[in-house]
Amino acid sequence: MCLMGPRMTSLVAYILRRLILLVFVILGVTVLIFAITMMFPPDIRAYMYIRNAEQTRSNVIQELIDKYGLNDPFYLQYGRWLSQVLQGNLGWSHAAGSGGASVVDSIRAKWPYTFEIVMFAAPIIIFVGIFIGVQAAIHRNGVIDQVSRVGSIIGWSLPSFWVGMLLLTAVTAAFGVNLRGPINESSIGYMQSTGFVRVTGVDIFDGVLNAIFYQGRVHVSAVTNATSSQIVSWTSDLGVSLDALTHVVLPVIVIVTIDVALLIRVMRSSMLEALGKPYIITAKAKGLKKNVVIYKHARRNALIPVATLSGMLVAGLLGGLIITETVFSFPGLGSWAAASAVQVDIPAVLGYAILSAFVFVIANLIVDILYAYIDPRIRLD
Amino acid sequence: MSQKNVVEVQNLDVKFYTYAGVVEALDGVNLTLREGEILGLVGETGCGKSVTSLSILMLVPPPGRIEGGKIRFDKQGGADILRMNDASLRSMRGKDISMIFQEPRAYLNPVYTVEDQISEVMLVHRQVEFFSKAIQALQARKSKGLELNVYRRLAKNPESRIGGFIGRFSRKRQFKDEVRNEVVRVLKSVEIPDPERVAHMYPHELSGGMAQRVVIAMALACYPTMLIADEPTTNLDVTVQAQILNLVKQLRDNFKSSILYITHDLGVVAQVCDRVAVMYAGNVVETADVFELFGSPLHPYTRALLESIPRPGKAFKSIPGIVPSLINPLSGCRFRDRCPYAMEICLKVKPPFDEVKKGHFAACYLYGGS
Amino acid sequence: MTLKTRWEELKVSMRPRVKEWAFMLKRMRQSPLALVGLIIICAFIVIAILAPVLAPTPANSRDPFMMPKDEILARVRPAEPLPPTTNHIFGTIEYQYDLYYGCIWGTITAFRVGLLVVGVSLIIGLMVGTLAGYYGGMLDEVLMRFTDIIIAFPGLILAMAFVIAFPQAITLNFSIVFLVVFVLMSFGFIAFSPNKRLLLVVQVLLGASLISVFFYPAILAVNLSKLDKVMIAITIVGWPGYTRVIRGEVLRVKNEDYVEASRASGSSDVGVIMRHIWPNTIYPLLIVATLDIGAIVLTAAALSFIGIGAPEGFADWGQIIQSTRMWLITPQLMVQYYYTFLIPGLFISLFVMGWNLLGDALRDVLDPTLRRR
Repeated sequence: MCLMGPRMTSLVAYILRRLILLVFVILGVTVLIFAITMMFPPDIRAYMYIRNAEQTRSNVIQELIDKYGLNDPFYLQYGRWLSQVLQGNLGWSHAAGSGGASVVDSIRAKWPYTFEIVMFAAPIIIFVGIFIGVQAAIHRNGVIDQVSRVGSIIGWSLPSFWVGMLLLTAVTAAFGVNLRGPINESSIGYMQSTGFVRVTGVDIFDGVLNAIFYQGRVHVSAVTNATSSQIVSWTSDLGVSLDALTHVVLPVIVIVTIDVALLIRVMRSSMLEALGKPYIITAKAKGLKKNVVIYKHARRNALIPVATLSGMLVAGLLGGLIITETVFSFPGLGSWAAASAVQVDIPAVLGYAILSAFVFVIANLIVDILYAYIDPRIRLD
Repeated sequence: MSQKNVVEVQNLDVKFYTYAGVVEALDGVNLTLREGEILGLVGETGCGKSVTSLSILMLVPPPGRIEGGKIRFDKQGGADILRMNDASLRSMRGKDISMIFQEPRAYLNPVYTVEDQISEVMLVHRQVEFFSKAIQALQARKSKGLELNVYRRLAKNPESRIGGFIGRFSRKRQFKDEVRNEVVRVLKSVEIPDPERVAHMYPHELSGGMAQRVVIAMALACYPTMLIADEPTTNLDVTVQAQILNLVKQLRDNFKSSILYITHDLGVVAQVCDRVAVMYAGNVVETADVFELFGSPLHPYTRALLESIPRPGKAFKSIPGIVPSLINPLSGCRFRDRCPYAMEICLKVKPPFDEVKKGHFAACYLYGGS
Repeated sequence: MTLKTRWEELKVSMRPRVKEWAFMLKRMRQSPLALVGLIIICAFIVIAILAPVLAPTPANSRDPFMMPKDEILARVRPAEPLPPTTNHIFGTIEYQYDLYYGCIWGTITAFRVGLLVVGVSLIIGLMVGTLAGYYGGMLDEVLMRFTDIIIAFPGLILAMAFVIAFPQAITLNFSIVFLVVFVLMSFGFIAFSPNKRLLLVVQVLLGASLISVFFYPAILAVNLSKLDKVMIAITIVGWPGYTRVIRGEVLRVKNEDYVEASRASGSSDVGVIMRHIWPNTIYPLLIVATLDIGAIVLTAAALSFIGIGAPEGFADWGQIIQSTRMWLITPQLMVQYYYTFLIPGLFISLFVMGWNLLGDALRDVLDPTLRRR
């Protein structure tokens, strides 16, 4: 399928139109969230304008209230806040740990841990969901269908924090291993030792990258017990990666279990609907093999509603991660949001909400593009 | 018109196992299609015309099951289609027997272009031919290299895995050109204007008449012996309908195709068909030459049908009663409750399908056969 | 038209619908999953009704929804959760609250949260979606943009923001607004009822209550409990989902022949909506609502788990798990105090699973390709 000629330009025009629309949606979201923050008294709201730690002292706060006119009408405040945001200041989060940090810095520090989970969870959900859904539809009422159906309902009914706790308990009871947190302490010590270069911030990647590119610096290192100076464990660059990987497994399992259920159901019903369409009879009447009919003709049409759902699910991962990261003590964006909610840290909640909206909007855009690529009927919209 | 029979449907029995019960959709259907003729299959909605045509290609969808009978296909040496294996059926569909349907845009896949869908059927059945043509063209240009070798290998062994693998990554431009040219040629043959542009269009961009032509082109792409047309003009405007009917007639005249034309419109039958088979409630009740049928209809149902055609100045006449339920049907002739001539035996035993006059068959006790 | 003939008319017109429901029930009975779901929900209903019997409230307690503390044990071990014993069948959680009591009365809380939130979201979503779908045009655009913004990101975050933002006490201003809106909506409904006498009675009653509120504002100084805030937040986040579903259905049905016929024969817009559009479009809503009850209970539990839901000691499953989080810091401790989260979590899972099974079976039964007309 070549992308030259009139089809390409119509696709590009479509993307541009959606982009403009989505900018408006993001603005709308910021207005909504800002409106919610207006329910708070000015001294709490002042934190949205703070840039660094010195400004958190109480006399400074009064100055800020006056400076930014936090008692002025809504639209004035919104305008000022928006211009501030566009200059890069999202406020000060006191729940960010160790005395607080600016929201922007917090995001920068915490996103790698969230990313570690999402980068595995998202593809697994999508591909496993599509595969099982298609198989369930093809062998309707067969074993895969029944099992996946019951499994889906069960998976979707379980509270994510409960599953997480159960898994941690089970793993500890069975193997005696503590898989809480993103990585073991020994690996943390290793990474803080000289020679280990932080490239991306994501532990899994950094370990591998160090192993490949920074060979000469640190080889196998022994981690000693602080008091007795005895060697506690051996670790290495790749060991760090592996360690991080094992700690990511359980959170990914929890997230996948909850979300893949929905995708399977939708893929299955969409596939069944596509298989009942008239053009499938045409395809068979042309003498095509059964696999070609199923995968080339039916599945491509069936993927259309699934694409939309996948985008929403991936965007929704940010919400589910609030709970999962808390349970597994991952210092990512999710647990930061949870802590901020409890401690009434307005800038943090605000920042997280805007971030999620942003992610959602980008996910929608990608889905729209995919959608237009798969289904040519949409481009003329 | 030769006397050779392209397809003979004998005693076809099809049942549908539904939630509501077992529907006896077809109960001993007999049909013969002769070479080079257009046979019309007429009947009201639900009488089993579509099921009959789908059975010829073994495409009856579940919960339907073909339970008995034979369908002899002359091209395969008189083999019984109902007993063919999967591979033979697939090689037959689209190549020996093609089918076109009622709502063309619904029967085309909306996410692929016209060219994609037509070339698809050509690649299934005529692939080797395209390889040969590509090889000839390349040899004429005295080019050497990978492309030529790939084609040679694939021409000798179309199922070759290595060949297919390499072929997918080499550019195969000559091959694609050959296929594209053939698609355009086929589109031209069904009188589609500006075929190069239409080839790149998607089904939802086509008008009804255009889409139906595309579907016909797709059906003819591999020069089938027989074409089944299931109410192809029912959803189209009358003017477009006339064009399509002309096209169908040309197919018979120029290409000597044998066509099974299914419709519920007697006007269309009169215009286009050479012979007609009338179906009622899962049985063929009468078969005859078209003039013979309109001139001297034998079966009471045919007579009632012809009488119910509205004419100016004539009072409306409809057939009293309704079509019987096909779940647990009553014994005997299925027209018994609406037939003005019903006799005792009609209620008990189904009348046989006999040749009453030369070339004129009817299933009715009025003409003997007890 | 007398009341009796109206009743006869109603019976006749309802007959095909009753037949359809009977067919649906038969199909449901045939599905094993639906039966399991139904059994689970019935079991929970029984537990909820029999809560005072199964877990009697101690005499000195003011609020039955606050779990009782075992003072005797608290003197020995003030904080540590204790494993199951004969006195405390499921054990105790932090500060010696009885886990069994919490789980039983938590059932009532779960039903209350689920049904109330779904009910209100359904009504709001139904109104907005029908208006948007039926009248189209600018109204549709505006309503749908608003809906889209709320759907624009994961509900949990927005619900969180609302929960922490809501003031504890609703002042008089808020109450007046809510009451006025409610009254207007009910007026709208009642105005189109065929029985004018009933209309008059209801109007008088509503008018009386409105006037009395102005004279006695104390009636409406409502203190929102934390759980109420959670319910309101989830409602605000949840109604757009229904809007989309019903709007899609209304759009589909709007152009059907019977609607046009009804308009052509002079029915008012509201008459058409209530008599023709709604009966044919609410089925998908019912499915969404059934599945939503489970999702809402899960969301409420999640919010409680984070700590912004029900207050300490309240009989709510999520809150019970949250209260013992401090004791579950390492997985080894989790193994030791397994009962504090295993049992409440089991209650949550089974409750949600029952509703999901039911909703899933409903979805299959209401599949239009299999529905008997």
